[in-house]
Amino acid sequence: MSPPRLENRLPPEDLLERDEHPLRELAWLLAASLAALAVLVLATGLVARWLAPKLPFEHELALAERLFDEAPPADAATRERRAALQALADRVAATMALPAGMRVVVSDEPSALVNAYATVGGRIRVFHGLLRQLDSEEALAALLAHEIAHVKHRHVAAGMGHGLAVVLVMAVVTPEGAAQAAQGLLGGAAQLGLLGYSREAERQADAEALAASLALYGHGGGLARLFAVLPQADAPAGTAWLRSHPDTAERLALLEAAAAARGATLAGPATPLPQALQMPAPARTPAPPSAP
Amino acid sequence: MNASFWLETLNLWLLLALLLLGYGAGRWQERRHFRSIRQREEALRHIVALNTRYVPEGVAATGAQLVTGGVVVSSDYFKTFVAGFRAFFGGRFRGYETLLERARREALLRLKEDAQAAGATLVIGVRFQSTTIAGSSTPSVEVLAFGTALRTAI
Repeated sequence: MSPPRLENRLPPEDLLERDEHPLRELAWLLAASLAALAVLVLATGLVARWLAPKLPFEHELALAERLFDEAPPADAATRERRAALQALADRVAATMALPAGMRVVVSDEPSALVNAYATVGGRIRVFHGLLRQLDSEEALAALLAHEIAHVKHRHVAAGMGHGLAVVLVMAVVTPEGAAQAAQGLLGGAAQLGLLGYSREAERQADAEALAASLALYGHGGGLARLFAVLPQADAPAGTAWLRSHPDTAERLALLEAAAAARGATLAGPATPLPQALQMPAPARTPAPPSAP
Repeated sequence: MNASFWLETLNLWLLLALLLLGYGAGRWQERRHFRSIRQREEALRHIVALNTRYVPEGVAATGAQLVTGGVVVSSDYFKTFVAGFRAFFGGRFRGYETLLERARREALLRLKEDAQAAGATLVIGVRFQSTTIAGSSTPSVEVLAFGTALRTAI
């Protein structure tokens, strides 16, 4: 009996050569991950945007007290300015039928930005850059009414809720980055009004501003004046107020039509601003505002 | 593009650099290793490794002794990164498949080299065993092949 023939077969080819290219695999995995993340962020954001305004306003107040409220100003001029702003805001709010327990608190900020924003807890802040440009009480009242409308319709809560929910999702992906983003959201972005409202929310706020103007003054002249000084959509960086807002001309046309429907116009006499709110022009030209 | 932009995104660039390094070095190593494996497999064809428990019928064998071949391989940054995504979506860990194929074939080659040094031409009862080495961010694994080497008359 001859011995059996024993052998080890060689593998036909190496696994490395017959497989999908690793970079191709990575590209697919990355694309799928990004798509999954985008869907998650979008869905979470939408749910939060819907849910946040359903929270009681008291929670917003508690957040605002911790985040935004500062000690009362020391100098008399600022105190007077804030009192005048608050008095006008209270007059405007009285015409807007705010829900029970909702009150706006207005303050000013020495910044050259032509901007104003509403944030959590009915806190509204007007920058000096904008105050300097406004030439009439009617225009300031229209601006305040617009911001108060964002508070009244809980646009602020929706925007903040959306932002925080997205940050929460991102925390799963990059914990450090998310912590920074949350800090920015509660600090910087909220203070600069960069949360971004939808165009629909802006139109709603414009409509409320028109109603308040008509109730207070019988005409919408303040809105026309306000829009004349607001930076245009293609204005340089730093004029953030309009970025989330529908095109100025479009907004004005809508307001004109709405005013006409109620037998009013966007023209009327102007009352000078109260003495306390008349800001002296800055001694030197400030550096151009940089993007936040 | 100022300095602060590069500083703030440093993590991202670091990740990209590590991925590129892992991919380039890993692939180059893998190619080279496979070439070397193939050459040595040809050279060691006269030593036959079987996993039978007994000497095949008709083979006259003497002088049984234990031979082993062990190898420790490590994943690279790129493979580990891709595997992280794989763990999320499921599917074949392709990078690890090639890694472990290399490890098994290398272990078997070292076993045959051990057998050759012992003057044997047949190894029976070959088994493979693997152990993961913990405590590292990139996984590494030991693959050990062992068997009984025999001198044969053929």
